[in-house]
Amino acid sequence: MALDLTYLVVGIALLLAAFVKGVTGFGFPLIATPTVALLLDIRTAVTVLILPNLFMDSAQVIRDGLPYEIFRRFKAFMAPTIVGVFLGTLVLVKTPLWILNLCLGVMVLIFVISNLLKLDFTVSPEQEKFLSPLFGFLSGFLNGVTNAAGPGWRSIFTASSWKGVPS
Amino acid sequence: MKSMATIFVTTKLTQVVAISTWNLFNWYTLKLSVLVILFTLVGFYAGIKGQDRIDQKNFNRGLLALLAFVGVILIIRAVTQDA
Repeated sequence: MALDLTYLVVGIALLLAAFVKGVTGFGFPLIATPTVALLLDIRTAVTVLILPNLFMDSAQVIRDGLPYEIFRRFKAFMAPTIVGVFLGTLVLVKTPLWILNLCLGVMVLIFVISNLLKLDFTVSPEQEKFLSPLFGFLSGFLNGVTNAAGPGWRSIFTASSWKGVPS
Repeated sequence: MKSMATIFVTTKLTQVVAISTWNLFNWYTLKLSVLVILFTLVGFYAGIKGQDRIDQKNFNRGLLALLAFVGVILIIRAVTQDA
């Protein structure tokens, strides 16, 4: 692989994204995917960034043993997520690159605007029962398409009914 | 934080299977992935070590500005790109 300006910029973007992940615990795919997608194509960006992301998150998860309690608590969220990821990845493979770029750009801007507006919402335990599968599927789908559904998850986990989950 | 990381891991493991199903993993992307892991380890470690010394408010502001810029560029590129 020749060391040219493209790879240098990708390297700097990745360092920044991983630094943000280290500081905040979030944000690696959200920063790394669009920046890498600007320089390479979005399918390559999503594919290349999965393993590093898995590596960093696994370090956080297995530090204190496997979190069975969390799997039990969020099974209604996780099962549809898995279905969504497969469908989203199929869309990633079949859809023209310009539409994927558009989706990623819109997702990034939605995240920025929701942060600037400080949007917050509350969810009752009753609502959680039917919102969990819906949000799970949507998050998985968006993750499959753009690799950046973390902002959605963060909003969900700050909603009232989901507060108090194991940290 | 651990709940989110657990869901992230579940999602990423599923994504590895899905991406492999549609043959997006090949030697080129795999090699690039390993290189990226090395880069990210350095950044991740620096982030963990430096998190107490960072002004969170300014940090978030800078981050949002960067993301807004990247988001706009992606949209411009999408609408000006040949289908």
